[in-house]
Amino acid sequence: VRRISARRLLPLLLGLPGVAVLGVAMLRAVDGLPADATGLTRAIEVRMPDSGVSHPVTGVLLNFRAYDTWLEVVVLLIVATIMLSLRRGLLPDRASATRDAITVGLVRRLLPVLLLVAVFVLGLGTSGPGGAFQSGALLAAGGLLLFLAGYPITRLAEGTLLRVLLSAGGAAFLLAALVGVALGARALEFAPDVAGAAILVIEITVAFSLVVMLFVLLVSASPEGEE
Amino acid sequence: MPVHDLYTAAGVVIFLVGLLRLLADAHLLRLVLALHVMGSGTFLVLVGTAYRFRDPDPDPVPHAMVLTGIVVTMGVTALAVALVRLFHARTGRVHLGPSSADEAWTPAGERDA
Repeated sequence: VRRISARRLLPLLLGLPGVAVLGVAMLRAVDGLPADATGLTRAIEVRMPDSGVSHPVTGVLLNFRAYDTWLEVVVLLIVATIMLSLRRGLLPDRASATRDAITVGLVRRLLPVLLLVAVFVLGLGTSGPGGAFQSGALLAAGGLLLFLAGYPITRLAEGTLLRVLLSAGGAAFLLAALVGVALGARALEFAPDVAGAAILVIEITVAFSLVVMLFVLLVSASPEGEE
Repeated sequence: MPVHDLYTAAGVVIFLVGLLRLLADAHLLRLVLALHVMGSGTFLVLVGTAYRFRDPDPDPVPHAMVLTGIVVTMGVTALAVALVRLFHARTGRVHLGPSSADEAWTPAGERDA
């Protein structure tokens, strides 16, 4: 049985009424939501033909609310930058001596499947649940596998290449916004006839960027190389 | 009560559990986890709300917000864990505040760890 000291109990006792009030208020708010509203489903449905994609979630992510997705990519870029600063760069590759038959066998069998699924999921994004984020997550997992198995993976993404890849996703959105403004539209407003192509280019660029960002996050969170 | 409202209510409860832990705990790693639990509760609320507006498919906007949120949450958690690790590596401590707090706030079972 864990002993709870007075210093821990006090904030709990003080916080409990506040949390209880907040909980009741939140549950009441949920209960009070209109039952017959359609939310934004109808509005999205009407504009879907203009979005350039056929999956509503992708349409929201990369067209109707592309600004959110842009900022999301920038948040990840900031996090990756802080991680790299804390570590003063990427961790060095593990010694190839850490490679053993099991990890190598696992990597050799899993990686081709991972690559195939990642490309499939990226392409699926326009018509079903999928896209840059899911694809990037899969590829980053593949990179982590390679890193853990002792393959020289961090050497592939260093210096200028690392910086270019990290910022490519945010830059793709910025470029799309600037081109739109230059052509007389509002920022991140895609004309229906070019929306599909623009989204595809952005998705692929963001996927590349995400792989590197997530890889930096995962590798930097590993305990190795701490002083 | 339709099942998606149960999801929403469960999301609220999960959020509150995380919030309570955030208030009551002092271990930095557990604070990060509490924050993450609160985030998960928020996502469940959003998903539940999206199903309320089913016509016939759930509202895609809350779904897109959850997808965005998951990635941001992961970034926040990774950054927080990295900072906690750095703090621990530099000071050997897992709590903020005066250094005596580490001893006073560590549960008895974890003292020798």
